[in-house]
Amino acid sequence: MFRSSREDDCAKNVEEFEATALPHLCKLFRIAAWLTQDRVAAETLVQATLSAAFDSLDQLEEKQDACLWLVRIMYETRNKPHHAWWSWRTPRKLASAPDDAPANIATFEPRTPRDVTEEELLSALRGLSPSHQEVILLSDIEELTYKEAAEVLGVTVGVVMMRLMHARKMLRAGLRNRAGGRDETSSDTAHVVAS
Amino acid sequence: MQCRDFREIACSFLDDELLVETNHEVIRHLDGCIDCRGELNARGELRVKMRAAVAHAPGLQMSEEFVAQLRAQLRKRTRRRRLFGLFTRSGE
Repeated sequence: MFRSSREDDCAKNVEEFEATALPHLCKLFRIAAWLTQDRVAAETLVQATLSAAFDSLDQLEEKQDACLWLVRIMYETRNKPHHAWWSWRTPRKLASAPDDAPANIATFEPRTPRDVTEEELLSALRGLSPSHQEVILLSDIEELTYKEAAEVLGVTVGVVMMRLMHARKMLRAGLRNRAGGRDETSSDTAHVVAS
Repeated sequence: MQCRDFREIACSFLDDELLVETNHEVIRHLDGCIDCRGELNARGELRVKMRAAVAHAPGLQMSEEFVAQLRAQLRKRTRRRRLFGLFTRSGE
C-alpha cells in the first residue's frame, strides 16, 4: 500500500518541525522554568508553545531565527487569558512600571566581585524583581539582542536598555553584599578560632 | 571618556550594542586604564558564570521523559491530522 501525498506531507511536517524546534527545547524550557518557578507549569507552557508553533510553522520565514520565533510564541501563549491559571501557579507576579523607575544606586560603582559561587549568583538573580530577572534571563543568559528582547517582551528597546542597566547594577550590588557578608562571617569565624 | 562614563556603558560594550563612535571611545579609554580593563573582564566573567549557573541549576533542566512525551504528542497530533484528512477526502 502506498502512502498518500497527504500522509507524506504530514510526516514531512513533523520532521521539519522537529528539526526546527527541538534544538531550542532546552533553552525554551529553561526560560519557562525560570518564569514559572514550577516544573509542571513549565512543562505545560512548553507543550502549549510547541503546539501553537506546530500549527503556525508555515508562518516561520526562511531567514527568521527559529529560536526567537519560539520564545515569542511562548510569551504570547503565556499571556493569553485562557492560560491565566499559570499566574496563580506562579508564586511571583510580573511587575513592570515600578521597576523602570531610576534605581537608587550610586553612579560610580565599586568593582564587580569576582569570587562568587554559582549558588550566590542564582540567589542574587532571584532577589531581583521579576521584570529585572526576565530581562537578564533573555539578554545576558539566553543572549537575545536588545531588539529581540524588546520584541519578546512587547516593550521598546529603550525600556529594555533601562531595565537591563538597573537590573545589572542591582545584581552586582547584591553580589557585593553577599561577598561582603561572607567575608565578614569568615573573618568572625577566624577571630573565634584564633581566640 | 571618564571611568565613571565607561562603567555606565561597559555591559553594553560587552553586548556589542554601542554606536561605532562610542565603541572607539571605549577602546581608547581601555587602552589607557588598567582599572576599567579589569572591571570589563570581571563583568564578562560574571556573565559567563551566570550562564553556567543557570545551565547547571537542577530545577531548570528538562527531563528526558518530558522530551519523549513531547515527541509522542507531536506524532499523535499528526496522526489525528492524517485521519482528519482521510475523513474529509472520503466526503469529497
